[in-house]
Amino acid sequence: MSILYNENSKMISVAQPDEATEIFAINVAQINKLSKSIIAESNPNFTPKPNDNTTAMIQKMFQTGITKMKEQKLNDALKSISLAIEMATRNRSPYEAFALQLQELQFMLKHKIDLELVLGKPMDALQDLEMLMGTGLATPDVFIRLTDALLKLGQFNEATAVCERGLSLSPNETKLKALILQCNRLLAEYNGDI
Amino acid sequence: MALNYDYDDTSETWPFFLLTVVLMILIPLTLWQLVWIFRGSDNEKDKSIQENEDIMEPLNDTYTLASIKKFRHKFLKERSNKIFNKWNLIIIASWCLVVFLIQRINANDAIKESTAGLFDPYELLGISASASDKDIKSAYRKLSLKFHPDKLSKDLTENERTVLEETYVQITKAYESLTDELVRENYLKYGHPDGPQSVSHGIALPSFLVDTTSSPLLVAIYVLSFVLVLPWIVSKWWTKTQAYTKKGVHTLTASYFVDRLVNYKPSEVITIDLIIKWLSNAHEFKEFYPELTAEDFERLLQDHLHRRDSGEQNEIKYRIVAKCHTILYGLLDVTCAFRNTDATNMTLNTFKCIVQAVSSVNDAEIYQLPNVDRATFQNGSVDEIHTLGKLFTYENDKIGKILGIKDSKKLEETLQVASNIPVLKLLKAEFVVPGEDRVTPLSVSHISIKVLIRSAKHKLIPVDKFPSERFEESQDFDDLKDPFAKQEQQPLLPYSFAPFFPTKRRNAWCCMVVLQKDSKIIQNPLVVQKLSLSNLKNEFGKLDVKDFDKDFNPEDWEIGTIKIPLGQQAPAENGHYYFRVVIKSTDYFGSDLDLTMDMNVCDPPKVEENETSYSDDEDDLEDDEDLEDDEYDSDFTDIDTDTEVEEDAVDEK
Repeated sequence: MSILYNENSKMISVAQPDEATEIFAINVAQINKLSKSIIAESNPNFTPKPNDNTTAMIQKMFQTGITKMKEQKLNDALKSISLAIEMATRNRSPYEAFALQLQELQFMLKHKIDLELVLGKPMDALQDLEMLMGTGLATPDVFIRLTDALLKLGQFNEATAVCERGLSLSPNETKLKALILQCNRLLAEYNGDI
Repeated sequence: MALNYDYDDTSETWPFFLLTVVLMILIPLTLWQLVWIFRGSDNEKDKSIQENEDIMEPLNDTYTLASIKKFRHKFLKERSNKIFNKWNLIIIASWCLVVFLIQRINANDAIKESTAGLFDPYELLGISASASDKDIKSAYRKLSLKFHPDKLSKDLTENERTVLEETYVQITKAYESLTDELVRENYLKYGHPDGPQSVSHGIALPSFLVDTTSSPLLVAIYVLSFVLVLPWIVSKWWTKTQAYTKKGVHTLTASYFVDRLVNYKPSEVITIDLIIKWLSNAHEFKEFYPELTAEDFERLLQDHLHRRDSGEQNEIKYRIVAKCHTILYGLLDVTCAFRNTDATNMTLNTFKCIVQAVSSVNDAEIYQLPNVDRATFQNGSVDEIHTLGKLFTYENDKIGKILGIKDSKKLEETLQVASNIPVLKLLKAEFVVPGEDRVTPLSVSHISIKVLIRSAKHKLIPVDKFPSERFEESQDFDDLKDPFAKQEQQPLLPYSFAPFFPTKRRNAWCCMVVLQKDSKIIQNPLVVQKLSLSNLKNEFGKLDVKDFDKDFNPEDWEIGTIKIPLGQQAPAENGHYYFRVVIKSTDYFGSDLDLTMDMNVCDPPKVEENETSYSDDEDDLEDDEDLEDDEYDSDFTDIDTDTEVEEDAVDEK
């Protein structure tokens, strides 16, 4: 397998696209994306620090969501927050330090998940929770939300397992203790043991 | 040493040589075959029948498709006929050869002659080998009186006289060899009172083989066997051991799975379809059917999951589905070595789906039953019914309506299957260090899980209804020495109800231990195939039990034990460490157990007396543990590299 370099566009490409594996193609696309955004950057002293302008934009959009939430316009709030998250993932340049964006992303995701749970979209919530846990967050509130989503989906066995894991990471969390009782009761009913 | 070798002209040696070779192979083979004929059957089957009644097997046979039965007949040479099989024929033929050889040896005069020349002083004197000096003397005296040349009668012919005189010389030699020091030494050392006799060395080949006409043939046989056949056998054996892993999976298949997991993207969700896709790339299938592609195999596996008829390719389908058993166990080991909990869970879910031929885990507990009408079940039920346990909260007639079964006999069979699927109820789970009442830092512990194996139709029995002494660990010396021996004594699980699976199979529970901290598997799965299912026979139906305390007798219920050895020693620091134990059945939906266990590591109680001996003990313990760790690592040295990091992580906590 060989790679071709285009001097004009500064992009690379696979010499024989038929032979390239999926993973190889992804790697090439990622490198191209990174080079493209670095070439596009006009400021010669740019740093990996997240761009302040984008941060402000995202925060503004997120704030709109929060205000709408307070006004009980839950669907609109969800829309704004989803937009904010999308902005955070799209408008940011790939070279900006992800570690710094992480907190921002986690904070927004938590709000999004809460809204989805309230609005009865546990499947969407579950997807976002997986993303949230994928960012390395394992705090009791994540487990509470995950248990809640799984219970709403009727996956009682999985919910119990998640709740138990949450409890073993933070054994004194009262909300989780209450949830485990609920899980056990629902599971017994599901299995016809009550 | 003679420099030139004689060939076996008089056929004295080669029959002995051949006899020795034949008997060396034949005697162990015969014994093994006899053991197999007489013991093989009682051992395996009777034990499971006695304690784990095979209720499912006849039902399984009833619902097995004719095409599967045909496949079984064709491909799985069950050793049904114990008397008339290939091995027994070979054994009988070999014994005939032995008889023939003995006959030949007996009939050969040359052999008789050479044995006649042997010198046996006891026989010559006509006494037993244990005779005392006094007996020897008196026997010699009697014989010498009879054979002494001076005492012989005068009317004997010259010939007779010589014979008798020779006898006298022999008798005297025999007497001397038993009494005279020097002669006796000669006899003991060389087998003859006169010292070393002439020894001839020969080659045990009959002379007709070495004659000029057939000798090129012999040389050809030598060349063939040493230059071609022997290297061929060795290379064949070697490539076979190299091509397959210890678990019987082709190395190419295993490396494909490893590749999948190395390149596994966290954003990718592992589903049953994905695992099926992985399976269809197994090299074993390619070996069976080189002309088919991975896509064909995937389509056939999906056909199996959706219970579709594959027409002419049915036989191919059955063959690859049957092979999935081994491949899935191989995949299970790989996912566990990668410590990937999700992939492991999904692998076992796929295992169940393949065994029961259902395409997803949703409502699979119901779909694994026979005769279920899926459309009626999906549309008809008012309540939320997804599990067997819930199903049994209804009257039998209602169950028939829910599942869409009109025929009462069919319904009865369906209910029989449903009530014989074992369900595990956790009674007690603890970390045990043999000989200690707690888990001490760095100790070697194992997990002991007490389960009640019950049927989905049984009413739930709360744990506190059992007297707590029934959960106690045995403190017998033997049990402390080998805590896992008891588990092996439990009866083997009976055949499963899996009418769509091409071979008859037994259920197994795979036990995974997961660290709750990072939700990763810490060791290879333990496969349990021995548990008593005797509780399934008990009458304790959800609707039948009116007065719990009156109907319930703890003695009627058997308590099963699952013991899982831990590959790592307990952490060095005191504290609580949480583990998740997942016990998943390979065959049935709804038989799993998922629990969280707290390992409370604390120091042993203070002992005042001599500290030195205590520290010695601990050193020993650590040594043992090192040994065990090495053994564990050797399974997957190339993959499981981050175990140590993990141990550190535990320590930090």
